[in-house]
Amino acid sequence: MKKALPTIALSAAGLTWLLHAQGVIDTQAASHSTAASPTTAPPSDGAPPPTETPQSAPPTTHAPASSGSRTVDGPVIDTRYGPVQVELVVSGGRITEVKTPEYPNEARRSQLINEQALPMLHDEVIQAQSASIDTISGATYTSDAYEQSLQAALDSAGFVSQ
Amino acid sequence: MGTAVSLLVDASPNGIARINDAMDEAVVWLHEVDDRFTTYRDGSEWLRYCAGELSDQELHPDTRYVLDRVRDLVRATNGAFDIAVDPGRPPDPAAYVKGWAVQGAADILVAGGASAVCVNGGGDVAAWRLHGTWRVGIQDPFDRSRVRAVVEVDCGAVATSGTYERGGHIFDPRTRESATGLASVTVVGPDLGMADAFATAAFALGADGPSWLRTLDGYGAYVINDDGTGEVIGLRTAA
Repeated sequence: MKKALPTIALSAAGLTWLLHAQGVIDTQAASHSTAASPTTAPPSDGAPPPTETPQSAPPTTHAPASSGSRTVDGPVIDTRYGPVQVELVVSGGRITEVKTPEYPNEARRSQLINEQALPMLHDEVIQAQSASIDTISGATYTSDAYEQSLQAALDSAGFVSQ
Repeated sequence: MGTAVSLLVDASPNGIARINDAMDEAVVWLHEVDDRFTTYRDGSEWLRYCAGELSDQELHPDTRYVLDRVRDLVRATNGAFDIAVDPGRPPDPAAYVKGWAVQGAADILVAGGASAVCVNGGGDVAAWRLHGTWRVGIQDPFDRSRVRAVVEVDCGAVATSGTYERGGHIFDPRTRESATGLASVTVVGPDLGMADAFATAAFALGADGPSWLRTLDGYGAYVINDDGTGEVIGLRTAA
């Protein structure tokens, strides 16, 4: 870990606000916010982090539903466990749902793994420069070897495209 | 020995300032851990502890934490994970600490309001996404231009152990000699510190590694044998 060289590729391509979402929060979403606050308010003692929202909806996916709803980032709420990003499901220009995403501390990560199907592995040989690969896991390389690594190639590609 | 850490972050435009702070914080954290635990520079807290210059009570909380986790791991793996098997070097906690440090950096970025985080420290990956999955390629140990498999991760860690980058630095605790039998072991699970340690332990066990990996709870694996054959343990597979 000597001379850790952080290679920083910051993308602003993430989720963007719907311009009109802000106005809707004050009206229709007010009740949702109130309803959501008990789940985000910190418990009085050493209880687990406030990640449990009523599981009325399936886990959020990025794909727009057939009804035309989409999910956007909402306000960030500070809790004693750190900030929690709220998600808003917007449909037809109105907020139809307010969700608190999971906050992945270690306990929560373990819980996720136990609850969900194990990760998917695609057992196939492909060229490492393939656009479908985000990052590479491999035996530990040294700082010098990093320069020649596939990860370095991916990182520099990331810089160019942002 | 040094390595490189890559941080990949997605944030909404109005969260950029905050995520920049979080990235600074993550980099400071990584350097702090390096300074505290390195066995490659004299005078680190870890080396001073190993030399008997510091007592348990004098240690930084992070060092005590790592010490406890390492002891737990040695016990839980019946010695397959062991930080004191390299005959020529002081005990080296790197097989746990590197993963733990990278996981910590990822946690800082998530807490900083990112919507997607992928931290890769020398080939060990901690990843999280609000939407969709990260596609993590597993390096082909026999051909550096290829990946052998791809794991999809929405919240978790991928750690690989092997000696194809740096030679025979992983020792079988039973024989105290360089481990043989496997080309690489990749472990997938909720925490990168643990995944890193499990991958190293399985690699050290050689031919006995796969059966040991099957006993782990919540962690899957992809093993590539010396003969090039691959074995999937506890992961869903797709063609």
